[in-house]
Amino acid sequence: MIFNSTSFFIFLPIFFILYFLLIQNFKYQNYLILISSLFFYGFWDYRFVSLLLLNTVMDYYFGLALFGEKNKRKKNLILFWAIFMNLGILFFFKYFNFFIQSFNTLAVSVGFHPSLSTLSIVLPIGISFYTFHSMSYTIDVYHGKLMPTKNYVAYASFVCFFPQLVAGPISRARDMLPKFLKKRTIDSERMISGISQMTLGFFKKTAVADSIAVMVDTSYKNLHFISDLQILLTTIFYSFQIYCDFSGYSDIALGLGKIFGIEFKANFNRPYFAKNFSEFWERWHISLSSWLRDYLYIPLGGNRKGKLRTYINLMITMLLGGLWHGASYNFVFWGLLHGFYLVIQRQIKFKLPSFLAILVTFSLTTLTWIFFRSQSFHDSLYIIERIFSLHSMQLLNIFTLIKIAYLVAVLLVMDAFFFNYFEKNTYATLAINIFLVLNIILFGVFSNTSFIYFKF
Amino acid sequence: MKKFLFRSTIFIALSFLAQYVFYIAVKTTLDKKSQFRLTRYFRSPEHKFFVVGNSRAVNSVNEKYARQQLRMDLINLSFNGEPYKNVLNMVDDINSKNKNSTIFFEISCLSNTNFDDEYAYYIPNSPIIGKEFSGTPYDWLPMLRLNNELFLRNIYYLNKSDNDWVNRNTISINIINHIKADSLYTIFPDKKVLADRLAEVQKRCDENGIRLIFFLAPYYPAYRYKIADYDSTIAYMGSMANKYRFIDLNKIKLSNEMYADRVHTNYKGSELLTLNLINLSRN
Repeated sequence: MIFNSTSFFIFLPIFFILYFLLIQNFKYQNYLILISSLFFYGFWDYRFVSLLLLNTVMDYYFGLALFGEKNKRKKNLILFWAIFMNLGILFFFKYFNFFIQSFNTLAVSVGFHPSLSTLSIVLPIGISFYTFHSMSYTIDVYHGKLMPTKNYVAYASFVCFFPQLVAGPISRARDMLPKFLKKRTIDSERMISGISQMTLGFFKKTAVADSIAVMVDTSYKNLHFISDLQILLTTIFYSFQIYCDFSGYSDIALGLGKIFGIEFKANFNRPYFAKNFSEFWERWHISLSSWLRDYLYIPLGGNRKGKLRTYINLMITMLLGGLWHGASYNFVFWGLLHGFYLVIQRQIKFKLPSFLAILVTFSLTTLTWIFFRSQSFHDSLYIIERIFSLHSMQLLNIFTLIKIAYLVAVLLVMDAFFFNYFEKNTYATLAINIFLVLNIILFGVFSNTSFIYFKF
Repeated sequence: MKKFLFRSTIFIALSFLAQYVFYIAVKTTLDKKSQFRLTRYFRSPEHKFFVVGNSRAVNSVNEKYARQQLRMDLINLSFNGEPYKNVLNMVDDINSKNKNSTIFFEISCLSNTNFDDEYAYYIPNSPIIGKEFSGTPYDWLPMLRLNNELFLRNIYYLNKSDNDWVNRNTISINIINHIKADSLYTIFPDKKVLADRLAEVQKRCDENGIRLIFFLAPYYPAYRYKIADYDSTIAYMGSMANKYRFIDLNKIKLSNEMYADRVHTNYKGSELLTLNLINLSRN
């Protein structure tokens, strides 16, 4: 089920009524959350509900085992198995074919002809997200930052909570689990703020991201037939598409969290206003970048072991960050390119004026999105070649471009001057919400399009 | 909780009201001021010659040229991306108001390819088109009717005429080079659909004394060779010559500079095609 679907608009009010009928008893609410979340997930493909449950059961017991174990060696062994199992499942569903294909290609290039064949595997939606939810729990329990819970339903509700289940934010167990272990409150101001944030999320998704998607998809399907200028505009607008698609999803999830009294941390903070790449990663997909920082970059040594090691750690972290997004060399290269930017940035001593710094950061980030969006590495290079040649100037549909330019302008104004407007419940907030609703009706694309990050 | 429910209800009610007010204000302004032909859908009952179809019809028949050079009272009601259903509604509308006129019908829209529903909801002025969205969200959420390219074109044509909105691009060398790599494709994958739709359009026009002329707009020659069913389609239309009047504009020789892309001619091409279409229709 996706947020911008008719089924969700039937599902949500039913859940809302039942949830608040059970407000006096959070345990029953947890049952409702768990059952509803499994229904939400199973609506896409019921076969993978069991995989999701297996994931929760596994980490729930790993958590208990870790807490009960005093022997350091055995504790390490339990953690090893917990990570091995989690990543093993993720690897099988997401990366197995990629590595087999890569192995075959490599073997053929050195003269062998292996007969390893790929499997027909369906990627379970949101597997990267819920795997990371669960792993944060076992790792935090291992480090003693979190007491394991003996309430399985509360734990499973945390992992499966439908607003964050399939596309994040990637919640930390130590932040979120306590919210499933106590009674939730009704706070009208917070709930109204949630509605406003959801409105912003729907504007970003249905009006901005999906309008751009129509143009971007057409352009990518006809790369060889469109002009260089059209390719350039497609590339620039894709930056806004992916931002609005993903941050729109996050806004809807955060809004739902506010309504139900289970608040998440912000996942985006105006990333395209970043003045450098460190700042960009503090503003973009914050829950993933902080996860990678805390559970990968810092354990690798972070910046504590000299310059060279810092650079290597950055490259490893960003490479794995890229691979987290999908099993493809394009994602690997996307991650490496960001790692490279971060390394280079540390070498640069001079400081650009703010506006120029924002422009340069945005332009170089946009360049990386080409690898993120393209079907192949070859296509990415072709696009870059065309952008830098810029010979032909024909545009596909000027009206679509004008519409997109307007929507992007609204988005930038919102980010620049009305960022977090939904935190306050004033008449101005109401006016902005109505303005956004009008834009959704006038420019929205209502075709139940999936969110880009679902496939990760 | 009461406060939340109350404020949410106010928000929804105000949004609903705002979209209604906005729709009425915008539509009234556009109906009065926009120079785009479909704004007031569309014309006086005196018009005698119509062109209907999708973008291939838009870009192959030049209304301005027909009026100024050929002295013909012709109006091109085609629109980009029109599906068969919409074009049929348009034919019905012409039938209801402009009896004994002539319709030039570009047949690409008869394919069972899915196109966007671009205009139907914008034009409630026509009872025939209005019935299309009766009982749908377009009925009670009128601002949705503006959510299409037609609305944007109306805005664009607020202070200018639309009688030459034919494509002015010229086919790029990139496109020409890559046509060779195109795989074969079919324009009418289901011939029964084509046959049924031709019959339906003809029947509706016969009932109203409308003279109907089907035509096929040209494809860029190298691209036309990739159409697996082009010859069979033309042969089929030839075999039905006793039932349908048909003109294949692919027979007109056009230079490269007269194409905008693989499937559309440009302004220059449209002038030559218009002249030929009119001349051939007189034979």
